[in-house]
Amino acid sequence: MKNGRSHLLLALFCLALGQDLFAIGGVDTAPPPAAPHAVSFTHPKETKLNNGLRLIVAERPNLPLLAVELIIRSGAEADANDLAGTASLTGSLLTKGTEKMSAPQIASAIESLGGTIFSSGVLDSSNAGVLVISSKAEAALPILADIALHPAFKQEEIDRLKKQSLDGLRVALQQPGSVASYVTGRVVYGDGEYGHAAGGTPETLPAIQRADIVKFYQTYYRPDNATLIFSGNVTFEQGKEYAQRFFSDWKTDQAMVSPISTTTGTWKPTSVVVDMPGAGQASVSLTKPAIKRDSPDYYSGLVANATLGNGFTSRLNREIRIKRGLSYGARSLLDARRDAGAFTASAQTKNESAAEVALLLQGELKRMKTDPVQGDELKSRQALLTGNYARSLETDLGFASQIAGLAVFNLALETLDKFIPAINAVTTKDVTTFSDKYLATPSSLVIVGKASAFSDPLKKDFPETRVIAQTDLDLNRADLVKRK
Amino acid sequence: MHVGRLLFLFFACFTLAASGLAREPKAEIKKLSFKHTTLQNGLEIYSIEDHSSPTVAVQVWYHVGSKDDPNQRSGFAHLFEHMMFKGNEHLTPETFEKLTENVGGENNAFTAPDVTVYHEVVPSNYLEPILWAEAERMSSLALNDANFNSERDVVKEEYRQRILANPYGEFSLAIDQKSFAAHPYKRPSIGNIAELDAAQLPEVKAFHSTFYRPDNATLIVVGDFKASDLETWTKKYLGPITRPRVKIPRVTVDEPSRKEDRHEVLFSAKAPLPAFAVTYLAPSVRNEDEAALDLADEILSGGQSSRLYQSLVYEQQVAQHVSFSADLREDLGLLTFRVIVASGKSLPEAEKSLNDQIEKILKNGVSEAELDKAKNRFLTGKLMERETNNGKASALGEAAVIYGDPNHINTDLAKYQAVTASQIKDVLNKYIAGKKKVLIEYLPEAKKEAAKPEETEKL
Repeated sequence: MKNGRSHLLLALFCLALGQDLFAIGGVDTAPPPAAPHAVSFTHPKETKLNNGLRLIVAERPNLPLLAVELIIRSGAEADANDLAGTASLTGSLLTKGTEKMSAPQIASAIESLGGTIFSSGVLDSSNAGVLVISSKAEAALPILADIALHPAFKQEEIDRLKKQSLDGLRVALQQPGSVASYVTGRVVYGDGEYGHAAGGTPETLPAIQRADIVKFYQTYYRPDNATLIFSGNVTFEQGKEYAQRFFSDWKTDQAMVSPISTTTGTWKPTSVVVDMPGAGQASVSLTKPAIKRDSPDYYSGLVANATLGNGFTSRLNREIRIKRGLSYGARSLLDARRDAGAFTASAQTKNESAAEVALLLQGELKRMKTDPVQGDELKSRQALLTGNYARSLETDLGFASQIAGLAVFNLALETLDKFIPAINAVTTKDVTTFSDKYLATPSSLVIVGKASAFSDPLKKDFPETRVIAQTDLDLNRADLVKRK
Repeated sequence: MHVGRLLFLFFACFTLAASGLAREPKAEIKKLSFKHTTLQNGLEIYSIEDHSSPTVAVQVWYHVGSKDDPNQRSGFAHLFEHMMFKGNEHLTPETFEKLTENVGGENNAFTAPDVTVYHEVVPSNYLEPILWAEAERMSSLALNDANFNSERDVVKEEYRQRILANPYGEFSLAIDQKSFAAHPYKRPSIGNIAELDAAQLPEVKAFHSTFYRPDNATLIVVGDFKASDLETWTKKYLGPITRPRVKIPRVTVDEPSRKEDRHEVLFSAKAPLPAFAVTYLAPSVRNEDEAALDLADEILSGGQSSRLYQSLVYEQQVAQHVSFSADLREDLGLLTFRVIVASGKSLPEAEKSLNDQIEKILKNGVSEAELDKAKNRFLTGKLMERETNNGKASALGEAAVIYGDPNHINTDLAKYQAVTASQIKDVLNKYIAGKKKVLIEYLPEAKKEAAKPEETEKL
């Protein structure tokens, strides 16, 4: 420190003086809040083109920006298990070349406008979109339409992307948190359609051929399985005109596909440890199948999940981080999907504390039933959810992505307005009913970390745990173990 | 939560989105009109009234960062940031959550090399209580051994999560450690387990009284409020905090210019692919070369049409990842090239490709089209920043505290717009051509056999 001791003493003295003054001149208790101001959102409008493409426009004239997203109601759930990653490669390849433009030309054209272009394939959906200054829409939209309607799927680009994806996987498979997310998929869904890694595995990616990608594209990328969303500085009339001009040629002569019917396999609670001797931390999760997005329990489920593990003052974070300093953050996720998605509660902790954290997670899931959320705690979780929701609608891309989230599951646009009242209407009884059914019942345990550091204490409370060596892990199989 | 090392990324994001609009001046961006007042105790207040959503963003920027970590206490400023949530006799722990997330808002904080920033978004009817709470923790902190130790454990878990559980975490730490010879920027913001363990509770109090004072803070308020209310509340709650008479200690270490190239080799048991970084010393963020360096950053590595992505990742496929950052800080900065080598390619191959690209831009400069692209991307980034009250507050705070000029939020566009292609070539040559570099190689443990033992260092 630059200042000497006398200065330091003086500083302490001044601070003491400051506190004194504060007691006289300042205010020791928090002032109450004023009356709240109401939140209001744009009401998007919709129509359908003759080719069956649904069009939704959210007029947000505040800033000269425009987000455009094309969302397809099919994704990685439609992958064959031994070709996991097909939807993901198909989606990512859209920006990698069309019949007219090469990958570098696409990137250069959009980036020269100051914009960004993106495309992907995940569970339940695929998408492509742009974000640009609204005055550049005329230049950006033909490119978006071109990548969505006329992708080339050149062999060279497929090879390049496969190689990049494999290198990405190599890195991900060294991280306990990402290994845990692959493993929980298998633990919850087994051989079911949501069970495989959506981005593919080191074994499936090399097996995917151009024909698989072309077939996936032809089957699912079609106007009657898609929604086009404009969010930003555009009118409904202008949006319609753009959609007509750039997307009305999109045709398909194949019969309409019905969405893949998924199953959660024959799930039963289990405990799995993946032993990564070099892991710098252990990832600990409790997981199980939960609800569909269109379930009547959806809003009760969100409030239950928020009580347990959404936000800093959620129960898991309070017990694991705030009270015990065992993790940088504990959380839970209710991943509602077209079919029943998973509920997962998780935390990363030093390897030595993994068993303790597993027990704490389990205790908090049970406590959802024995110590129901009510009063201020309930109100705080409702406010957290509605506040997060309102903030997600602040940006053009955020607004587009909320609409896309509805379009994927064929939910009505009015659902946008329902969210806040529906969350606020959830009662203690609703949350307790949900918790009885989905949270307080047994879950599967997944720990990825250095097993020697926690296997002894773990045996006491989870005696039936299977330990899989990192080198024996096979993400392609429901039992997760390589065949010898 | 209560972020620490995101810091770096945070600023990288700002500098990445470099530029203006040379050819198309019609896409004007509205000036943000802000109010500025200084309280008698030295607290600077900047505010923007905007009623488009019923929320207010509140940020307190303290001009103290990880470069101010006490000796032998690497990571202390960040550890301290966590302690700022633990309250005092009037402020119970979790007050910030009660006034933010529990009523529909959010809060967090981050520690950067030069600043520590506490930020909240609240429903606008909670502005008065959140100003009270910020005033309370500026005025004093009162921790006990229990909450100090438990929060220190949280920070150690943060270290494990960011650095140990991430195959390239130790690589990121090594860049600052090996690139600065004398300046405290060489100490990573996140610290290390041994020095975090060594921290004592009384040091928290001393750090607060040294740096957390009104004349070392800047309050930013953006959103749905009445100017007269803000004036009343800031005077009432923040006004009574006294300004200590002692001077605020400042880092005065001069980083010596490099006398020779350095080559450091590190090994990792976790990294599946080799990586390397090349750094050069760069000027302060307030230097006149800043705009040109930011645009060079954008041209070299902004987006998939950037030079380094196109050449190393796309065409030659020698890199799994490549980036260049003009990482400019208050005292000085670094120009950093980072590469993760693609599988099946060797580190020397990737290094040669990178050197070819550096040579090419130093020799031939950049095209007008590349420059226009960089300026357009900067404009879009600036518009996106304006979509939220928090985005505007961050921009205003950065302008006032980092650039030392709040008007920077309105003048930066013209500054970037004025940069020419030849200026970009000149600044890159000024800081790279003939200058000494530090090369940091980060290799999978399996390659250790091949390297000479005296060059190696185990992390």
